[in-house]
Amino acid sequence: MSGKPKDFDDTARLISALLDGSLKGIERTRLELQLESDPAARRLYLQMIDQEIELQFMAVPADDAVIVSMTAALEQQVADRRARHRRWAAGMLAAAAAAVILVAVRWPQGVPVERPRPPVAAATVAESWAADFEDGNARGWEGTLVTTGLPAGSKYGLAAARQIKPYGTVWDIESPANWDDGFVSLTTRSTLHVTYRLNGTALRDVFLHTIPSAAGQPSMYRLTGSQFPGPAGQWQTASIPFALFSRKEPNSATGELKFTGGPPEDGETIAVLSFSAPHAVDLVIDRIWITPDGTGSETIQPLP
Amino acid sequence: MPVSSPPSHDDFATLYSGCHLDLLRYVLTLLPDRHLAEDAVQETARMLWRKFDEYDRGRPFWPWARQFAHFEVLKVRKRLATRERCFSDELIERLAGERVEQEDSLAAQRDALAGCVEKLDAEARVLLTSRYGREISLQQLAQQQGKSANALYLTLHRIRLRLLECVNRTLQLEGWT
Repeated sequence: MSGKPKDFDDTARLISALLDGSLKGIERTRLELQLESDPAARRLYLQMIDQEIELQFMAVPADDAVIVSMTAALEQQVADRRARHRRWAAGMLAAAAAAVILVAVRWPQGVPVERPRPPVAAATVAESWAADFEDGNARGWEGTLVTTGLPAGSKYGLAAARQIKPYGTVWDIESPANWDDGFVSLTTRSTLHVTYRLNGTALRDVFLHTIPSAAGQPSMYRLTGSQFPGPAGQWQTASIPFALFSRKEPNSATGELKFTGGPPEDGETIAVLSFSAPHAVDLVIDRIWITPDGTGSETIQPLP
Repeated sequence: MPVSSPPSHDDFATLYSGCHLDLLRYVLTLLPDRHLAEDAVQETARMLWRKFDEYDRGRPFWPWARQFAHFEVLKVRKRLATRERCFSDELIERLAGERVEQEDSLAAQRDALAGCVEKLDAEARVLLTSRYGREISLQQLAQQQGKSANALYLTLHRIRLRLLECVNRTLQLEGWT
């Protein structure tokens, strides 16, 4: 590589401060002068910018327990997640990119766009589903595995992670996408259960993408009229009827897309489930499961 | 368009996805404020789509897209007060040019980074996970850990330097000069 800047330590420290948003006044001018006069300083600047972005896309195990006792399986998992981030850049983002441009930017509302997929009638898909990450496997999920601060007896949870998407930046936990058949088939009484803890800033949305039971277009739903996520700062389990979700559909007069439609219909299958916020959110999910029945009303119960 | 078929959404999605992160790197280089940069990339994507029917599919997409990003950066800078523009116009142009010239070695650096992160000690990786994976600000982290924000800034800076050293060593072994 080319040589170091004349004053490597100072240049690197100034670039670091710039990346942390803490570079002010005179120091900013000093960095500018160094970059203008020293090709090696500019090279270092380019390197550090790239490194900063790359670190954001690199999944790193979330705490000491994972790191200190990292097993071969976890190493593989880290590699998989890193690859997933790259695939995201090349795949998921591709699908969303075209759509986002078409429906204009929804970033101010933090609302993802529908992802195009071929309409496929759902095959036989189970009506129950669960994910608890207890084997340390969150393959395909958006989120960061964590191992501390979990409910008693739990070994792994999934924390919301920052994702840069074409419509903006979100902090989310999102299931792996299954656009072929979906991963769980809904009934009119299906219920989403989630054991979670949310600290501080409120979660914004829960979204579903579904595949119809017969040939047709996929639908997107948002949880509306719900008390979820409820009180912050404690572990709790919410049971939420899917009847509380509303389909995104065009307004008959203006054509504007809004979540004003009805709930998912019997036989629709979920392709993607996501918990999302357009701002940093400290959400950890210990377990998610879906049952074909429920009480028909929403409950949020603190864990004992 | 030099080809008969009209541009499709799929074409655009495929091409855009291939350069989205490149756009982010390019824009952040010239506009070193993450929020401004992300907004500029988003606006660039919108402009690219609007103008996609003018794209010559016989040519590479990335240089075409980069022009839009560059223009968007200039637009954002124009809106900012002079003191808020991080660098001079001349420096911006120089960085833009050198970024393109050095793209191959920068890509090699990115490839080497993953291995270097795995060599970090546990404490460093915890900090990276908190800072980047969970997007916790250094001030918040400092509060959680009972440390001063300055101490964490310094720690993060040292981690960045260790990664840079490791990456540069790796690239030297691979024959980059």
